[in-house]
Amino acid sequence: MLTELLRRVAQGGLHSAAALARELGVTEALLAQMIDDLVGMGYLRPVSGGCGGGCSACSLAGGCTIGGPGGIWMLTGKGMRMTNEKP
Amino acid sequence: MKSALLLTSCHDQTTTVVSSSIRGHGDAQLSGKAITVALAGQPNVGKSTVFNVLTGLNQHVGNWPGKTIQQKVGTCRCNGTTITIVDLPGTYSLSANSPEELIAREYIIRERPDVVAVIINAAALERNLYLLAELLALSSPVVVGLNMVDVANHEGIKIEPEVLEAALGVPVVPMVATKNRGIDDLVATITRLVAGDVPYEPKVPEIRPDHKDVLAELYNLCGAHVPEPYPPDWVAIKLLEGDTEITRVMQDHLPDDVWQRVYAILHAHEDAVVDVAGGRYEWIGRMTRAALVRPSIGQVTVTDRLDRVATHPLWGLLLLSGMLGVVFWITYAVGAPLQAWLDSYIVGGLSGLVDNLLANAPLWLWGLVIDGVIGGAGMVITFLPILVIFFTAMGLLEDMGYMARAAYVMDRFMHLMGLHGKSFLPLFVGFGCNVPSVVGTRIIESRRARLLTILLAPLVPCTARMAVVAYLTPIFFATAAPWVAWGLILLSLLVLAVSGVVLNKVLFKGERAAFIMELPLYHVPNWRTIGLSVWQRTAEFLKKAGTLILVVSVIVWVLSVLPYGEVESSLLAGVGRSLAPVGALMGLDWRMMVALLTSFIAKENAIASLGILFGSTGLSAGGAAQEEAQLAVSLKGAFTPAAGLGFLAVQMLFIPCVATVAAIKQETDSWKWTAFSVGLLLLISFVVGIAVYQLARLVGL
Repeated sequence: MLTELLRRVAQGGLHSAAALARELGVTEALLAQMIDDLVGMGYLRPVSGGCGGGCSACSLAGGCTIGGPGGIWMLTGKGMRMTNEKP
Repeated sequence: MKSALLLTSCHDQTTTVVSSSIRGHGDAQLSGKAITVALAGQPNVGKSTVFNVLTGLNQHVGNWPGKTIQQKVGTCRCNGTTITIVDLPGTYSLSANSPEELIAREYIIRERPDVVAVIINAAALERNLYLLAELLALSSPVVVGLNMVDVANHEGIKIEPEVLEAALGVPVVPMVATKNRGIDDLVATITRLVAGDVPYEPKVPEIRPDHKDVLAELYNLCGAHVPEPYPPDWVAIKLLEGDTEITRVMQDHLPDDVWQRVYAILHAHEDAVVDVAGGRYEWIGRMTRAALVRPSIGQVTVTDRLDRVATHPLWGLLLLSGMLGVVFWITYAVGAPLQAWLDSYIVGGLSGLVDNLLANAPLWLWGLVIDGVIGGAGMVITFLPILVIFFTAMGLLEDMGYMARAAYVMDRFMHLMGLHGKSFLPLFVGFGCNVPSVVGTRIIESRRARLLTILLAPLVPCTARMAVVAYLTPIFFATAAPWVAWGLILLSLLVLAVSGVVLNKVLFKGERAAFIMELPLYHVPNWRTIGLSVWQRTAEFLKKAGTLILVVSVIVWVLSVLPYGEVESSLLAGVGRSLAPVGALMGLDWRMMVALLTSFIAKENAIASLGILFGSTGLSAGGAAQEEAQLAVSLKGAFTPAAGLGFLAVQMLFIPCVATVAAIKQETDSWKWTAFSVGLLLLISFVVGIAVYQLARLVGL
């Protein structure tokens, strides 16, 4: 199931956690745990604080999704390599 | 009554304090009167409540040997059997990722308790089953205490314990520990399991078929060398998982040649860890599909239903376009009349007042205050209603949780256009301000991808550019202004997409990037939060108007009167006229070109400069009050809508403000790339401006 999750993510672009959970037939809570595991294994990494403290100058800071309440994770090079190698 | 009965019948607490030296599996079997139970579970599942109810005052609290982590051991009696209960640290898994996980699994492996009672939260069954999946791979039999069933019921989650029991192949006891319900059943089930009166045929998770052979090979290589008391099949799985502790143990115990072979296998199958964990998740999926009935769709997912439209590749984009259109329509319908009122009565009135006050003042002071300060920075202040409405609309969309969806559909859109997926986050932030947009490219690891995103970031229309659009479009296009503004934003995004495709092909090829994003739940907006956000943004705008824009306004005015006191022969006119040939291709005169140039300091300066250049008559005329309020009339009289459209198109795509250029220099750490960015944007903006003007003329604007 984790392989399937990585494979879907590796198709590129942005995937909503809700849509991925739906596609894999699991709850968002379980997907969150799967994501945590994949972070621990080095296949995903959380994206946060990406703007390097530029928030004070940004009019979107209040609703910003970078480092905001909703998490964002990106596929790492290791994750990309694995999905490239696996059919 | 039930709990009293429970305590007297089953929890016949003794006063014996049991030391941390636990009696093991073998002892229990021999005596039949004393057993050991390890209490496992994730944090916050009610494990401590179960422990306290069972042991009461018969607890011993100490530390796990060699650790600073608390160890709790206690006893209770049930039907003549003394049960020693060891409260294991709360853990999410047994993967040796933390000292707690290591303690829990080492205890179960080394001490072999007669039963492991795992307490799981029924309201979060899926998350809790992962630990159970790992416990089933160890030697001790497991009983599941399905706690918090009342909370699960309250949340509409229905679990059928008998079905779960059949699916797991291990005893499952529903409980509400906080209400002392089900704990006696748990203890009774434990004693019956030890006595062999309960069937126990656990269905353990399996590894994916493509790694079964590898697992078998590891087992064959290591089996004979696995030290007691580790189970060899468990060790093989942990090796494949890359468990550092077990790898270290096996490296110490395997002969060198065998270790080399094991190492080669592990190295070749580095990614098997995903399959091992994935097998557990598949097992969890099977168990929950069998025994868990989730709330009906209507109860759960208003968010889901809305997202079916908001995140749809086509409907989502249309919705976003519609949202932007509505925001602009409201901004114009409400903001534009207020802006016109402020322009006429406040700026005009203030000019009249100051005109009277400075009637006897030197002409330069009169010109500086009336034309430079009020005509420039004052004109920008009239943006206030437009910005407040715009900020409110954006704040509303953000607070409702829509902006994350906007980012989501924009990413798909950019992908269709061949843009780099990773670039969407900083680019999206650019709608607010281009500075954090450029700085935000730090999330992109590839330097070439970062450069591309930095080059594209200024093409995202920031609020300052949109404020200029909001001011000028009604002047040239009256009631069609919202449509023109909407079209200008689409034009910017189209140019961004085309530039992205071209630069993408030139700078880097084929690199993919992928994100997972949690979309927050939609919720009723909190007006206090929105109000605070609008106030902060408005205050920031006023601060800029009172500092940077004021200073530039004064400089522009000074340059517009030096050296002879006439705008037409001023230094500024000289600079502007040098750009006039380019401007002519877009239907613009030198004053419009100067306005563009000054927008380099801050985008709003474009309006401030037009206010000065079209309102000022140098140092020779009076009656400024009327003239200040006539910028709209002057512009409309001096330029055709085609020229107005050309100007707006250029300013949407022109070099960003100086703060953004500074950010580009900082982030690229290269003057060459900074100059390239400025040159590229100059080229793009003039080419598009000329094209828009010429096309507009062709269609008769």
